[in-house]
Amino acid sequence: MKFSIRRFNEWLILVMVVILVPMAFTMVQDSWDFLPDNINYLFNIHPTIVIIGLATVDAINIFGGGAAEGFSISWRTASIYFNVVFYLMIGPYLFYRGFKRSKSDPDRAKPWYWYLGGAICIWAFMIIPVETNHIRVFNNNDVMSEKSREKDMMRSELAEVGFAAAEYGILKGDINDSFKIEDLNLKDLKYIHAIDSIASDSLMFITVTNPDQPDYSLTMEVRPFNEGVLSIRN
Amino acid sequence: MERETKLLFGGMVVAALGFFIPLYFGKIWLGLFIALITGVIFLGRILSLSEKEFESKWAYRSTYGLVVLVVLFHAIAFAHDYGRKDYQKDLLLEIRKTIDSGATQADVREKLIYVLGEYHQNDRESIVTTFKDLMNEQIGEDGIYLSDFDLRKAAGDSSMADIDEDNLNHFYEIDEEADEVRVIVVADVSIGSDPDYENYDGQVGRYEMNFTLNEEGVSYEVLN
Repeated sequence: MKFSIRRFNEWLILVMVVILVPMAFTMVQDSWDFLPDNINYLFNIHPTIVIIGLATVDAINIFGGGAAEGFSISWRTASIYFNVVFYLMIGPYLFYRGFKRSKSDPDRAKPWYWYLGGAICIWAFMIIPVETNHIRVFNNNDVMSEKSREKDMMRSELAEVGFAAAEYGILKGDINDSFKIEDLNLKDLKYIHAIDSIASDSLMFITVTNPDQPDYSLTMEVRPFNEGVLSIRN
Repeated sequence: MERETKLLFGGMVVAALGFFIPLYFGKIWLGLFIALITGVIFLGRILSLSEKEFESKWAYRSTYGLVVLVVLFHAIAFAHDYGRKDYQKDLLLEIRKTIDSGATQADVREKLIYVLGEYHQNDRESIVTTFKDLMNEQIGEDGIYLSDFDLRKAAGDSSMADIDEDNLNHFYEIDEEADEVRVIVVADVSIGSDPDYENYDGQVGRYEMNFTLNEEGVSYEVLN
């Protein structure tokens, strides 16, 4: 097959369009998001991100005791339709039309819409790195959430042990050095609770640890006969 | 009009109807699914129309492979995010439940244990009397228990200025005969395990906690 420098040039121009146009905007405006937000949505490569964003706003509203708005027709939701049409229909259509047009041209020159369609098609491939990164971020979030949840559960379980110890102290009249967590008869404890010290019959310190998170522990002061029965020390 | 142009306009109309009609009814995921399917069908048709235009089988197959790759990643993105559509809401509601439970225990359970301690330490007459003596501020009218939040808000505590509501409803019941006090707390936001559970305050399916104080101790249970 004969190597055609012109064909090479056409593809080179196409790649330059994809790279240089956003770069030019970026240099002028000093930001990768060179378009206003509302226009930016139209060229979003990953439409489900918009839905997840709207669902997150709803989730925050519900968390704060407000009502969820749900999904309705708006600029942001309508942009999702445009994203699909732009990257999966208009881009390939222009690219194909330009390709077909050049075939009927005696010089086989590509029309302007070949470049435009080609640039849209190349940009459509950005779904691959964007989605890969998206999944990686979500997986990291899962790990962080799980750690956080585990810490919350440790705190809750320590409070449970603290209240039980306070009650034990009240009902038995006092707590002496022989007191052990096992005396509380608490079932299904998931973490390791230990009595740090018993300062007096009205003050003790209990620490919770978790073998899965060795760098994290919590210590609680328990004062059975005080108005503030429990307080976390760290 | 060229065949591919008719195909484009047809595809755009079908995708618009398939997207906006479900969206109108709040079904955005269904709308996106229909729009994506329409887009994929359009790509497939354009590819088949273009087959004869390619100069070699290799070029056609390469283009076909690239199209499949893009479609595959759109499918992965859709499936992944659809699978997590309620993730944020569930996570935040779980956090909210932890906060509600923690705040209530720190407020109500702690006070009831203090009452228990006072009763036993000072050999007081009865649990109910001790509760009434020590929790005078908390005992409101018509069985309403005033939480720390309510009292601080009413006292004009400046740290509460930005918080309108704690979204927790507290109630109490006194059983003089059994010498027992119950405090019931129902959340406005946090969801309980049974969606049909009838809450103490008339709500349905909300998180509900119950604290019972008698001379044997303070028991805590999650009713829903």
